Amino acid sequence: MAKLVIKNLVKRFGKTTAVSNLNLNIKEGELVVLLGPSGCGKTTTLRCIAGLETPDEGEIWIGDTLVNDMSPKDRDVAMVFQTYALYPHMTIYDNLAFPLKMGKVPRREIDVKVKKVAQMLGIGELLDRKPTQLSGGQQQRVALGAAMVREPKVFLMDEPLSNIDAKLRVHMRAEIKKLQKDLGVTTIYVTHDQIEAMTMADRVALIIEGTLQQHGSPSDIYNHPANTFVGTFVGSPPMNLIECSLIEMNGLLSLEFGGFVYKLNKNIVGITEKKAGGSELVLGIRPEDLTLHLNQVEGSYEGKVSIIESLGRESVAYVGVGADILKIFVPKTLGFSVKVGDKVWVSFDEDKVHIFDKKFGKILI
Amino acid sequence: MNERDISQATVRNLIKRIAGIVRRTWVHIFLLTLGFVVLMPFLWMITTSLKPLELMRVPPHLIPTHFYWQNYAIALESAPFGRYYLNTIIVTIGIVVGQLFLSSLAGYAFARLRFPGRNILFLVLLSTLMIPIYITLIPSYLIIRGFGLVNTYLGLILPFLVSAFGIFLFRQYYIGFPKDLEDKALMDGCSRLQIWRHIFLPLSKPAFATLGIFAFLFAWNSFLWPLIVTTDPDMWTIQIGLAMFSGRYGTQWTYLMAGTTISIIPAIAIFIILQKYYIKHLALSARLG
Amino acid sequence: MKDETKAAIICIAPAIAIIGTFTLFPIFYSFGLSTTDWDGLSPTINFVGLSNYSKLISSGAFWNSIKVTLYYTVGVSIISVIAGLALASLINRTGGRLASFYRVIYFIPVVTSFVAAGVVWKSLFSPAGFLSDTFRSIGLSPPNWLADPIWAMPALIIVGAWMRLGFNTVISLAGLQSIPRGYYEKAKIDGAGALNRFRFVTIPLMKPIILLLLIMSLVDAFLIFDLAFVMTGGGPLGATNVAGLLLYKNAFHYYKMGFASAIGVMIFAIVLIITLVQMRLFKFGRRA
Repeated sequence: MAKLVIKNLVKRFGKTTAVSNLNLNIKEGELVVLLGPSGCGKTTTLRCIAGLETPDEGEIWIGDTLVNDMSPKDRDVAMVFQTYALYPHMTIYDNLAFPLKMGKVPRREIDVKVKKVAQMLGIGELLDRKPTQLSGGQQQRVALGAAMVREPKVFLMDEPLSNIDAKLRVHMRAEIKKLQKDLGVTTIYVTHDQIEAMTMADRVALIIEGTLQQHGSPSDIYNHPANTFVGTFVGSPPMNLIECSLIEMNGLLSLEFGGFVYKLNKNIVGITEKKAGGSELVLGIRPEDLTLHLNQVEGSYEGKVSIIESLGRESVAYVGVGADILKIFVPKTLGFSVKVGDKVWVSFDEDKVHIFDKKFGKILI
Repeated sequence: MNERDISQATVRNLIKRIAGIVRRTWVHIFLLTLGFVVLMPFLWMITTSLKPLELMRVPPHLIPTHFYWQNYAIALESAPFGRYYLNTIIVTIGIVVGQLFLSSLAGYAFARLRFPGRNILFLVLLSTLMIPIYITLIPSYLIIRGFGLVNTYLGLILPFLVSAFGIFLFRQYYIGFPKDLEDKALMDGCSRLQIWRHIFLPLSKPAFATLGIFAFLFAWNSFLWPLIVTTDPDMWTIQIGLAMFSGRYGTQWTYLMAGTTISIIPAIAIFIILQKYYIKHLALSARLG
Repeated sequence: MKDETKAAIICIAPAIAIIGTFTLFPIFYSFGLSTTDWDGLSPTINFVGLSNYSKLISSGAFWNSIKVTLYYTVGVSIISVIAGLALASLINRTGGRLASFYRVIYFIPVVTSFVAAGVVWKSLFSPAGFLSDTFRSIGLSPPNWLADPIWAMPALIIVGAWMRLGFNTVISLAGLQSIPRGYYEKAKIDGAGALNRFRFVTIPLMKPIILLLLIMSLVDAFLIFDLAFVMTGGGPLGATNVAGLLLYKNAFHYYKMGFASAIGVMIFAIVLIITLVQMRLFKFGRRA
């Protein structure tokens, strides 16, 4: 168990920069999720930590050791691959024993460790089988076991659940989280699935196009996104973004969009005024922080329902307000009385409004 | 459509199907006959080898009335076929094992390791496949002679210890391996060579079978090289032994055919056992060509 | 040095060593030797420039050798490629049920050595042999095959083609089986009969395979040695004195290593030309 520090990591492949100037501080025993869309550099970062890729610039510290020049096996990290990477010609027992065998651990000790891990993961019965005889979920556990058996300082997991069907995935998420807490091993978990990230992580590092966007707890990321990328990546349906201009009306600072005016809450007026670099801003608000009314209510904006998506437990309405289309949850109470084409009114929850600057998408409030 | 039309249609279909079966049967008959014709020299060889010398010209009965195994004993005695067999077996094993082992190693390097000059080296290797033996024959002989390896097993084996074809084959085979397995092995503490030993090698059985049979046939049927590298009859391989035997007993076919039969049985046996791999490889090359 | 490079060196060193020593280096060595009149034994080697080549070019024996080798090469290639294609087509027509069986049957000659085949066929071709007996039994009088300058090479060609047939059949079969049935079905719908389907679907799509077979056969046949050595020894009257035999005799019987090396270089050149022509034709074949 060790802390991990990444300083100014840069990794290029030919002309593309996969990871650019990444700085990350990971505490001992925490589960950090590297989250981001495909190709954003999170797997590359993981592989640099593992030692499978060599950084072009920057430093990687595991504990108190600079590991840049160390081979994977000397770094004392273990990795779980998306494809599990189980050796097809070896039994499960041998798969689990292999890393220990390579580490020249005596046979008796290997046996003890393998059996212990197998029991922990509930795969004790499968030790004589070969990987192809196992189900996806079982293979996944073996992959985990092969990493655990080494008792490393750091676990690296590269989208371990993406090849599992949805139902099992929910179950495995909880199991991995519990396992990690029990073992207390520092874990870095890569995924593009934001739900996985939000449910499992102690902290999330959101990476887009090789750059770290935000590093914080799931609720931080969700409730205080650092920029529009973060705001729209996490949360489903994604945050609504409304382009607006900062204007002064009746002596009050307001945001104007599509013919509507949003009066800035007095709490944030001052900050907005100070931080706004220009007058072009973006207002962000999550679907669940919008309220749908069938009648005009004070402070609400008129709109027309263009699409309704029924998600079973709830519905999402796409309401055209001004030039924008806002996604908004249809409350159960209104239920079926909202139809496509209806005229409705939308109001904002003041406390949940985010304001970003338009140029860089950075949060102001 | 009334019932008569329907039954007419069914009859027509039936006739078509029967015609099809008849046509196919004729083709089968032709192919089987041709097959018989193609194998006839061997059938003649076997039946002649089992007849007493006096009857060697008489057309064979379909089933020999008497199996004259003595011919084989005589053949084995008069020319030391046993000795030739032994030499050939040793040389063949040496060549096959060498090629399998070294091709797997080199194929792995070309497929999975990054090193300077890899692509150029591989192209050079590939180009050697097109080089006819006649331009390398004399110098190879002189080199072997220079090393004092004439009339030795090593002299017979050494030039063929490595096969560019084999390296190409293994490289193709290994290129398809999932990269994750290697990464995992690296994480597990394997050196590059250990990755080859613990992961690639155990999973190479089909490639071994394929190269194995090609190498075996090449080594077993080899004639020109053993001919010039062995002057001592004790070191002759079975092909040389057979050729010389043919010179001496040219007209005594019964013994000659016995000797020939002995010489081709291992090749045919190995082929029949491993033919799946040989033919699969040919078919694959055909499609890629 | 990177780990990968170190490991790579260990992995390919033996291969490089052996191929370098016995394939690459000899090419240059042969060129060098061909400019000498060395006999392979004496301690002194005399440089004679290109006189070996001028001797070859003016040598009737050499050109005869090339001629008969080409005779054999073309004969075997044409016969075995056409027969292979035909056979494969037939096997394909049976719906492929016994295909594996036929493949093995026709392939057996391929896996036997040229020496064994030569010995057996030599007996078959002998005046007292099976073939001659068969001819006589149907009233024809057979030639003295291997002793007749006219019939010796045709006899070799028959054996050569027989040995190659199975190989060409297997490859042709693979090619035929890889033609998507859709093409045939469309042709049938468009009204093409069996012969036309063969002409307009099979042949064009098989072009690359036919080319491949031809080239493989040509190069392989040109290098013939064992068969000629065992069946005729090069005679009668040089009718089967193929290039390989010529080189062998000059080097290991007459002890003219320098001269023989020149022959080796010539053979190399001819094979190179065939191969280069192949690559050209291949591009044509592909585009067509």
